[in-house]
Amino acid sequence: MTGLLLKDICTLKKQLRLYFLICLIIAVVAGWNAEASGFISVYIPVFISVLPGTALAYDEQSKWDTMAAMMPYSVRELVLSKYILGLLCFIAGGLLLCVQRLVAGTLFTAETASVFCTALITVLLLQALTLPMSIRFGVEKGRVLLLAVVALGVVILVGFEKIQGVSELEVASGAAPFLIPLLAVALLYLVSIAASIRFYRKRHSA
Amino acid sequence: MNAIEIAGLSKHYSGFSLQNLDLTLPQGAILGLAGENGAGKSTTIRLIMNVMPRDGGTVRVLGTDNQSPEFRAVKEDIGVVLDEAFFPLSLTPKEVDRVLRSAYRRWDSETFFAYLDRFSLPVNKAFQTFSRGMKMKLAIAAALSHDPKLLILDEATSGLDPMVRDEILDIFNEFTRDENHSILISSHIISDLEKLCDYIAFLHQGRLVLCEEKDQLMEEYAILKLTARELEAVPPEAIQGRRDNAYGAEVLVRRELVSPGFRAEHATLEDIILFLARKEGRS
Repeated sequence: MTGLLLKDICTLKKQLRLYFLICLIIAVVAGWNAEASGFISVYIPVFISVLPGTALAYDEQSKWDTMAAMMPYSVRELVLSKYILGLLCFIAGGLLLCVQRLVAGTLFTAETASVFCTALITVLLLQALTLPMSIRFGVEKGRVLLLAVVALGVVILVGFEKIQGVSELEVASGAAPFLIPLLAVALLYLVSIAASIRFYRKRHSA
Repeated sequence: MNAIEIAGLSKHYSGFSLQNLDLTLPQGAILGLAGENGAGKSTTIRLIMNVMPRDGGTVRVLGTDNQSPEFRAVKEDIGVVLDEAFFPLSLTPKEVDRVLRSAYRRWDSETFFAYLDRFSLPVNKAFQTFSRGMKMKLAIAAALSHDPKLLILDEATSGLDPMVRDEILDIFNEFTRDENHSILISSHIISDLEKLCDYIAFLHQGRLVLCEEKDQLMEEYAILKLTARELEAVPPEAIQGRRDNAYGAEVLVRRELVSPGFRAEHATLEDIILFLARKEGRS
């Protein structure tokens, strides 16, 4: 598994630099714009968490799966590595967010907790939906689905804010209201892993 | 122990069937898999590696059923080179070393870099900048650097220039100096198989036409160049293939079934395969 993660990190090295730079810009913009800071900050971990999809695209381009099938890897490991990469990306984005919040002096606030929870829900949801689709139908179709998922996410988020009676994310609400959505998305994530393993087997056994 | 034992292996696609394949690669030997495009060579290799479902039969690799959970560990002992090298395009050989070091327990970086040096491959250039020959050399270096007992090579020498092919065939020969090492190689380049192999299997339209020791095969068959009248004197059962020309015919015969009076010429492996393919095509 470490080899698979290393392979993805080596493959994504150019993107990682670029994404880091973009996240840095987002962090600076969020620092300047205090009113929309929470909303903008969410983008840092979310933005970086789409990298597993890019890694899958590179695998597809080089037909890596054909080679990986000959190596002592199980399908479970091949699939799980992408999800672990996704979580590592979220952690990296989360750390950047922490630095941005630390500099802004708002790290230990209820608003930061809600920003983290929103980002985590969004990231888990995005990965849970796009990874199985990309594995089943290929990355191109997966990207189309990603756009559909983003649109759906916005609708859900707006709906959630309305239900909670919160008009804007920057209104501090803490982590408590996010507990049930977080659990639901975590469960969806596990289902997604199982589905991806199944789809991978189906796609590569033709 | 045999390196590979295949019994009754079948796989059906629309328009193609691999039918009831029986094949054995004894340990320490090199088996060449010949056949035209679409004959079933790559399908056989994929089934040996259990990367696609089969419709019937069994495959044992290095003594282990390839559908058993233990086969994953056996993959540590198998070096595979496919018709293309499928490394991620942006990876450099140095990064390939780092990645494969984590994939194979017995990965030997020293051996890998020695092969890179021997093949004059740059260590820090991205894989995508390599020529086809360089890519295949990298794949071969990787396949040999985790101390495999079995090499499975699917058209690994195709597209390489004759000098590089010769160099690589020497490496494969070196590999089998250890009596525990075996090679299964599929190739369109019959002359490579003739140089390298101990056994030859010939697949035609998903069916095994022959599988014999190469030396025996070369002794068994001969070429006769005859006029139409001379041809009448050759027993029909001796004729294994025929090519008509303006002067009569060129026929592949079983040496033992024709009179020593005929001037039999040496049949190359390529002659044998081509004549048999022609015969099978007609049957």
